[in-house]
Amino acid sequence: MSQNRPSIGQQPKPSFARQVMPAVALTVVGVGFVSLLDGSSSGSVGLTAVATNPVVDPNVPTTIVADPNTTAPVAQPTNTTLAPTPVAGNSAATPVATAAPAATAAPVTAAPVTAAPITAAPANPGACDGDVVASPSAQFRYGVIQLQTQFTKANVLCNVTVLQFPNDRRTSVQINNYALPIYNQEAVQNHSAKIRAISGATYSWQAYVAALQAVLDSRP
Amino acid sequence: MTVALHHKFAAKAMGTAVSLHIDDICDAEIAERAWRSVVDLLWVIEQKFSTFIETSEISRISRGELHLLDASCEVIEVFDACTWLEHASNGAFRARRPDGTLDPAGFVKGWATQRASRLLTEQGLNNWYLSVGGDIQTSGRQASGELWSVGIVDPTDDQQVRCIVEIPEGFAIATSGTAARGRHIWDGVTDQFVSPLLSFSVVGPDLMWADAFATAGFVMGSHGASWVDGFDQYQAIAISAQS
Repeated sequence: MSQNRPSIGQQPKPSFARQVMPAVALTVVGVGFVSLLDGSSSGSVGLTAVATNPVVDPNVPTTIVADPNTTAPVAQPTNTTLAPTPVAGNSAATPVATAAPAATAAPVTAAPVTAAPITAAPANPGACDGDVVASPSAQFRYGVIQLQTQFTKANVLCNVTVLQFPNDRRTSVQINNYALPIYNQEAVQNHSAKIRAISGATYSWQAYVAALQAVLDSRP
Repeated sequence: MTVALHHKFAAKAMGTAVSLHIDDICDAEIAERAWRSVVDLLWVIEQKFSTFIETSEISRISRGELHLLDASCEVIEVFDACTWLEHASNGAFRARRPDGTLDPAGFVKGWATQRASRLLTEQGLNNWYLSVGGDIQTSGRQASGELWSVGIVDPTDDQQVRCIVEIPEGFAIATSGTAARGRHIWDGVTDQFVSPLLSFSVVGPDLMWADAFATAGFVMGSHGASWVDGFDQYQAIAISAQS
């Protein structure tokens, strides 16, 4: 019994290899990173290098796995592209693999939830038979647009048709990155739901209550 | 603990309407707390800058009770920006009324909104818009993944929308015009309340500048849009009376 379990004071020294292994592993990591940075490879490859490293020494992964974990949230987009690559490292594949679904999970759950409000949004209380307003021409950077708008009796915008629109808009948009998507759709049904906010000259509170913004605030 | 996707708030502050729509999936309490911090900040700023409040720093400066250089750093920051704008707009933007009293209101609203919106970002909210009297700072996108779309009010009838603008992520839009409060904008050059335009909107990354450019560009009239184009990433949408 006493032979099986050495007393605390005289614990046998670990072998030389075990003692040196952490240092060797860390050096390998460092050298790997430096050489990768020297080369023309991107940072994402650096992560795979870290990932394959634990395969060399299964004793150390606890310290090394911490590295990809801390970098994972920062490099989310690269992680998702990385996910298929670390097929080689079996133990190291796990941290990357768990990070990837976490990143994709959020949009996936978000999508179905949003689908409901959008279809539910057309809370148009009445048919599209209210005021028809042909606007004067609105001048903007790429030319002149003129619209015809129609509202329901409850003053919800339900129809916008374009009476006038610059033809060169498409090319203009490509020239300038910051070109604004100003537009009006022939598609009627979703249009009032599309507007999420109203911009205008400063309102008095009373005028505001009647304005579209109040409608938008009150929508579910 | 009620987690929701859409959070909407509306209140009256700074003499106008404030709306906050949040499209983040988060606890209602978090959204509520963020909204309260916004309203509180706007209230504090109003106490400092309102010309309608007797004890505000602006009122005291106008009455000669407080020297501008003794004012709080926020007031100095605002007048610093106003001074730059006066030069940049060649006098079209002015923080003084024709009678000489200080009135930086044309700048404060956008500036205050941008400061308030910073609070939302600090509290971890990513997708929202904050509207103070039609000046809107956005962040991220709608829950549907679309950009925030903002309708520009018809200057001749504020219950109707003239056109729709999709706001690039993180950008802001501000509109100046004669519509709602009568002709509240005066021309710094001619000391007259005149513009050939009905409404002038500016879209850009910072609401404080978009708001100021809208105010100045509206006064400039027909060449306001090209002036705004001179500023990187800022764009104007002008609506004129003639069709």
